[in-house]
Amino acid sequence: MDESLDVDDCLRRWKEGSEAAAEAIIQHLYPVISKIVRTHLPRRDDEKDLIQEILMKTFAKLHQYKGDAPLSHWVSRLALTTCLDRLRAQKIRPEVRHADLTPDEADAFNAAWLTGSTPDSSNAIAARDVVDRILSHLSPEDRSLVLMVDLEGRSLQEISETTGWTVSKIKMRLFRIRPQLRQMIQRLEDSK
Amino acid sequence: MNKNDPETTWKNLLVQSASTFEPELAPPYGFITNTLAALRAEQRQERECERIGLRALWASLAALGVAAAVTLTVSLHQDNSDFDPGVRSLVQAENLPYS
Repeated sequence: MDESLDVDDCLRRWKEGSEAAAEAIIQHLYPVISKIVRTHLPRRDDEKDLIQEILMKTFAKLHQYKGDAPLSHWVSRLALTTCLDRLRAQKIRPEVRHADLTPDEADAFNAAWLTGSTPDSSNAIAARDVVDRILSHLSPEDRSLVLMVDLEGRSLQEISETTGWTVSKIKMRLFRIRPQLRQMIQRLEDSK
Repeated sequence: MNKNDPETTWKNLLVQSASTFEPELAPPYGFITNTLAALRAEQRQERECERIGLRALWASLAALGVAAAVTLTVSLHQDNSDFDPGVRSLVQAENLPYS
């Protein structure tokens, strides 16, 4: 992300009709939106289309941006809401069993399950597919919350600012999700 | 062989798949051009909608103006009698003066 970008100047020029300013804003926001889309949506979803959809929404709502927070924070919230809407449109899948995994996914799961085996990044895509399969049982909000905590290591306060949920609501959700997640992984192993 | 607990398995899976969550730092070739074109198309559509809306507004105002003018003209051409037309003709038949 281009930290040196003068966002206020770009916004002013964009409002005057400058396409160069629009291009600079897209360049500035692309990594932020890409990170959110890659984290919160399953791997196979068409991310380029979604990133473009989020950018279009951003430009359509730019007049609502007051400048009291960095533009990237404001856009993060918009991006997360769009991702959650997309996830809501997808069905929650039935329980996954070990037999449903592809051979690569099964290898990735077994590697993660056995002690002493070092995480193998060459199997990253298969491991990601297992992660997506496990997460597909959770509601969109729960799925996003787990990833924000476990993957991004974000604090409850940060999550609260991005999602608009209260800290106590986030704690309650996490308290409810943890046993579900443990149970799903245990069942996956037991169904071998 | 020893096995992990589900919690550790979950963390291992996330570590294994970490690279797939990495963002793209720059848009792919053609993405910006496509997005700008979509943006232009949307702005054009917005302007078109505004133009159609304005036309519809002017047309309805004009129709309202014509209706008001017709009503005014008709009422000015009518006799200022307090009677209804039917009653007025009866009064005329009797040749009674009316105001």
